[in-house]
Amino acid sequence: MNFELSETQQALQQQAREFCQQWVSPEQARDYDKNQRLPSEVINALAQTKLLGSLTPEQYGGQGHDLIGFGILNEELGKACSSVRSLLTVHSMVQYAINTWGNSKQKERWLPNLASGSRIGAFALSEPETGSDAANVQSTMTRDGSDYILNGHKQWISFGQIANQFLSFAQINGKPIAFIIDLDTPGLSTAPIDGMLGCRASMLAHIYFKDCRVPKENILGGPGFGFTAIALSALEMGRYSVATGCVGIAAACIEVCKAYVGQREQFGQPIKDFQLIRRHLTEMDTQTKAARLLCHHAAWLKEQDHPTAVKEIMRAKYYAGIAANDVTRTAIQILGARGYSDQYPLERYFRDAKAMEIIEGSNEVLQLVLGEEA
Amino acid sequence: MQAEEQQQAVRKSIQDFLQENIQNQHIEDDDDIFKLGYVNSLFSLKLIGFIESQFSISILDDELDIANFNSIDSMTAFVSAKKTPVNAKPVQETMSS
Repeated sequence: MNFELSETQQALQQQAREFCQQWVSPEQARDYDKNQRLPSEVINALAQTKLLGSLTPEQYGGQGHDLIGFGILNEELGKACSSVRSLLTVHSMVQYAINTWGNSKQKERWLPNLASGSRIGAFALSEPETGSDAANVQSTMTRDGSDYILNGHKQWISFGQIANQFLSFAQINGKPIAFIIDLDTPGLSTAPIDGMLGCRASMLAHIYFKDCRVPKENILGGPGFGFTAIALSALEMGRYSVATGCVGIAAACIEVCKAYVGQREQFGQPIKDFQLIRRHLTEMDTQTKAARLLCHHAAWLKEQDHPTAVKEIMRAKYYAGIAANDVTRTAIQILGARGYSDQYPLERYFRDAKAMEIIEGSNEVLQLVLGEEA
Repeated sequence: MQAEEQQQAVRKSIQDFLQENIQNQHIEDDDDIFKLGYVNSLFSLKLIGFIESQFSISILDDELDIANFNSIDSMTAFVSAKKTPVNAKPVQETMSS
């Protein structure tokens, strides 16, 4: 395993940094958080960079980056704003599922527009009564000639307020099935969800399906494959994206703290000279690097389709989520009242980090799986 | 007799593939490997790829139903039916295309 970034990966990292400097400064991210939305100019600018198609093969208009590169991109966006990173996450999950499980017509039909960002995709799995037990979604599909009729309600759908199409899931004769549904499908409606603790610019929404007609050409895979194959494929990529985004949150906190402890003086000396501050920084730095290594290792396994890749991505996400929470909490402790206020971005990182222990597999669900073979 | 031998060969290939990939588990021919939790996202893709390449068949969109892939029995029946000449169908969109 090579730990050095390739020239392509370094260029991608630089591109992401430049995008964030222009569009996602700490002040801009604070405004997005307060306003609970990402301005369309930011999304358009992100689309212009072609980063929204970073995982999709060049053949379908994407950039075809490898998973280490994709992780670096998520880390950089995660450093700046978890809501921007979240857009990349859900949009990439949809593309990944289509590229992995779609037939050639489906790939040609959907991937170029998603990769270019001219259309935004969202992952619509969760329901009011179905969270961790996602295989048992209650939305239903019934066959009607060559089409399907869909009824149901999805909840907590990131970027559901602005997505043009959704990768969603229902039961057909007791078997989970995956499909793509367009926003303008008659019977589909959305309603915004506000008031979240963190990732507040992720523009969450309810999605309602009332007698929506879904053509059979929109079915991904087939009956019974919806959860185990397609949803879990997408979630795998989502977990990796979240994990690397967590590394970004933690790395950003360390940057803030290192700058602060050098200039903040108490008892006649910079606080960086106090042993307890050094202990904090050591723990933060070590946890962040350990999380990054777990992510890179999982990506390396996944690139080889290694049988343990699925679990190692889970492990990376599990640990990175915990690390992000530990690091943000300690960072606020180091800055004291300043860290607790919004004059620094730490309070936002702290709120955002909590979501990472809940989404794309809660800590408890990941412990259930990882603990099985521990 | 030839068809029966061919079916047994298909069954043996599938048994060997599952044994190689699902370690430390004894799988009966009628066990539902999805319900038993032996299949994850990566393995489901590998399983479909194996069926297509090992038996030189193309799985059509309409055939991608879990009922065809959830046990050694169902996969054997599915592959055997696909390989029977009277089952020839016009070329359609396939998973691997």
